[in-house]
Amino acid sequence: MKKWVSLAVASATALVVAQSATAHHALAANYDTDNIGTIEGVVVEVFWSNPHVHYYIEVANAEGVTELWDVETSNLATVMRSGWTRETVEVGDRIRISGQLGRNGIHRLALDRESLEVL
Amino acid sequence: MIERTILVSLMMMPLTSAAQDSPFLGEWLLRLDQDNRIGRSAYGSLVFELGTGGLEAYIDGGSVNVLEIDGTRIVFDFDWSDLPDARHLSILEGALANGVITGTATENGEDRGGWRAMRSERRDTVGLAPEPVDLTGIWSRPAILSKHEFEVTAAGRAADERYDSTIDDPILRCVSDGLIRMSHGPFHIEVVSMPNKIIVLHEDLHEVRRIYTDGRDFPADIEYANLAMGFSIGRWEGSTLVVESRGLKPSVWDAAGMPISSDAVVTERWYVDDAGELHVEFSLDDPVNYHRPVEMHGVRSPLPPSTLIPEYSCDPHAFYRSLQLEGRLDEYWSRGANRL
Repeated sequence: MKKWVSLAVASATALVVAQSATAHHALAANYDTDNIGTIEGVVVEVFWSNPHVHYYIEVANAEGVTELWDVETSNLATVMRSGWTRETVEVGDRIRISGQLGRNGIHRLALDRESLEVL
Repeated sequence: MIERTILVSLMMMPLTSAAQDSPFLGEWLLRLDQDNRIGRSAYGSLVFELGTGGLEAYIDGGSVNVLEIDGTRIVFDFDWSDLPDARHLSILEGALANGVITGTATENGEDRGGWRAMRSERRDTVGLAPEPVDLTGIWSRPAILSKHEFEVTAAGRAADERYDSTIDDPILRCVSDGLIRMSHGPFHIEVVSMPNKIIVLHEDLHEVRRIYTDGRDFPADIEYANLAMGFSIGRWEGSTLVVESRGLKPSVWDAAGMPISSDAVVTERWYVDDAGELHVEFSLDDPVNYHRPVEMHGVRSPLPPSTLIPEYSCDPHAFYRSLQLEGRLDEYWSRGANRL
């Protein structure tokens, strides 16, 4: 969410507001940085490419219904610098992972790569 | 946010009388020992001015709050965001002695390293005879302060309110994220100095930039060129390369939606310091969107010639896949006027 802060020293003739900036990719727009969750499921698709690597995972919810989750991590160079390869997580793997959950209940997760457990 | 406004007002009142003779007035070069994103030292501009409410402070062109002044001691805050875009507020406490402010930064009481501010002399280069420096080499991703809030105009605010970073951000579609954002993202660059131009090869999106140093002028109607990286002309003032860029397309210069107009002029000052690090001081002058120029100061370290810069091919598949999963594809198609 954008935030607007009126300044105490604002000019009387000009609307002066302070506005947020500087993220490279706006992860905060899609994910709730204060809401960390864990999901477990089976990988059905791997998107090994820029701008960000994604994994699509089928997760059974509390009612046993399968839901498709979109799991996002960093750009390829960063992912590979952290020691991950295309074989680290593959289609068919059952994994447990944690990360920032999507806002408004959407089935997205910003992956904390250190949380990965291949079951 | 109203609460913060009131708090700032109360804090500013006792500072007014002390401000007129403040030894802090003027422009400083700020250095934080701990970069806010990758752990290295980072630089920025720190300006103290006399305003209607007393001593006003700005970091990289965005306001910060002066919390205390007591003679040569000062305390102010600094809002910034880390690479995943989490918001932070540091408190910088320092003391002025022998023309240098030194102090420590904290966040929620936790130590965030030291800081110092010196009078900036590096900008006094007008009229110096050219002393070109060979900038050829591979330079690391930059350390930056990553200031979070800036002063926008009503037009800038309206542009931002039209922007939805989850759907309008050009990089989501693998479209160039432009000169300013690309120059401060977490990617290496390779620079090739040539007699009449300087080539900058960006890891990010494999973008190529040419800075012409052959004395040419901007093309006619440059304001309509609609360029992601702009048209760049450079000149040497001493050993500082001063680059002016125009012709940027109306877009955003960060993912969160800070706007940039086609009238914007970007001035950069490139120089290598005594330790061999490459400094690039950016200034975005865009009165359509900002009351004050937005500044950024990136510092890159030299990397060995053997350093591999990986290819950055980009595929927008995941963006459209996400929109489809979330039922937002129709929303995307309906926002053609917002496409950047």
